[in-house]
Formats: sequence, structure tokens, C-alpha cells
Amino acid sequence: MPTYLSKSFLEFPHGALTAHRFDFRIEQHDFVMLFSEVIVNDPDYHAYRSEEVGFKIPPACYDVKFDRLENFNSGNFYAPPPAELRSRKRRFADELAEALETIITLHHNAYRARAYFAIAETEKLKRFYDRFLQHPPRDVIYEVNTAPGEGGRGYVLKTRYFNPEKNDSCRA
Amino acid sequence: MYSKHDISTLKKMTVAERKAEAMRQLKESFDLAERSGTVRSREAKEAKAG
Repeated sequence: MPTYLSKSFLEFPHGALTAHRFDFRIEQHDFVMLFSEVIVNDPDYHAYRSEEVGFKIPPACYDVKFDRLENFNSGNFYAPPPAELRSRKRRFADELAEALETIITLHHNAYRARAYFAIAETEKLKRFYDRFLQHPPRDVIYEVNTAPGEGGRGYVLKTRYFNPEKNDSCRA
Repeated sequence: MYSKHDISTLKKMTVAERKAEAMRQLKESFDLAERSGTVRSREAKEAKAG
């Protein structure tokens, strides 16, 4: 079962916006999850990001990332754990999926995010996301798409706040 | 503001490079906020059923 090391989202300035951090643990692995709001008041950047996801990104949409805490602290981002610490157990992946779902739900409740964007940089992570997103939490996420501009490795998770008039239909 | 050069550079990066660069920037911001005492917190709550 995941352990949620954070009880609150840590908020910190990130450029002109604020980013959010939440820490968790699975087995002996500590992780950090980060949410950064997509900049929409920079026309060139906004156009570039909107083109990637296939729609005009509104405010309150977040890039979401996670990594092992050790990597975050060392700056050696996304490095795999040492071979002796790698878990190939299905249960580990299930617990990781449970943690991501829980933290995204908590974030959605706290910040009323309209959408989340994630990218799978490896085939292994893509397989994990594809499996995890077959059954997203329907009271939070009403639509999951791949982002056309990310080579099929980008994901768009629209929440019930993205398009309020669809809320009722997505809860059916 | 991102310059056209910045965006051009981003477009040339691989997915892994972009993710690592974004994470590097986030860590830089977090470390700076810790040093300057500007980290805040917001309670994480489950939504009430019903």
C-alpha cells in the first residue's frame, strides 16, 4: 500500500506561476510528484503547447511529473534505481498507479485543475500509463486522450472542470 | 516569456530531454523557494462523498 508522506501540497514559485509538490513512498522507494501550471499568457509558448495537445489550453491546466526522490535530490532525473532495488512485481505497478490516482484526485480537489498533461519517455512507462488509464477515476477524469504532438507518448487527462456542461454526462 | 529561440530549442529536444529539463527547472525553483522561505502549503483533502 502506498504511504503518503505529504499531508499538504507544497506550493512554490516557478517562473510567474506556482508549482506544487507531493511526496509518497512505495515499498522502500520514495517518490516526488510535481504539478506545474501551463503558461497561457505567453502567446508563442501557448500556441506551441496548444498545438501539441490539439486544443487551446485554458488556464488551470497542469503538467504532471513524478520521479524517485533520490533522482530529484541528486539532479540525476529519471535514472533507474540500482538493479538490486528494482521491483518487477505487478503489485508495485498497481500501488504506483493507486498513488498517482490518489494524488491527482487530491490535487484536482484542491486546485480545480481543468486538465493534466503527462509524457511517457520510455516504452515501459507508456505501457504503465496505457494500463493505468484504461480505468481512470471517472469522478475526476472524464476524458483521456493521447497528445498528437508527442509522438503518441503524451497524455491529456481532462477533468470535470474542463468543460462544466459535460459534467453530468461524464458522471453517468 | 519564452523567446522563439527557446521554443525552437524545445521542439528539437527528445521527450526524455524535455522532461529532464522541466524537472531541472522545477528543482531549481523548489530549492530557491526553500532557501528564501517562500514555500507554502495547501491541505490535501479527499472530496466528500455524495
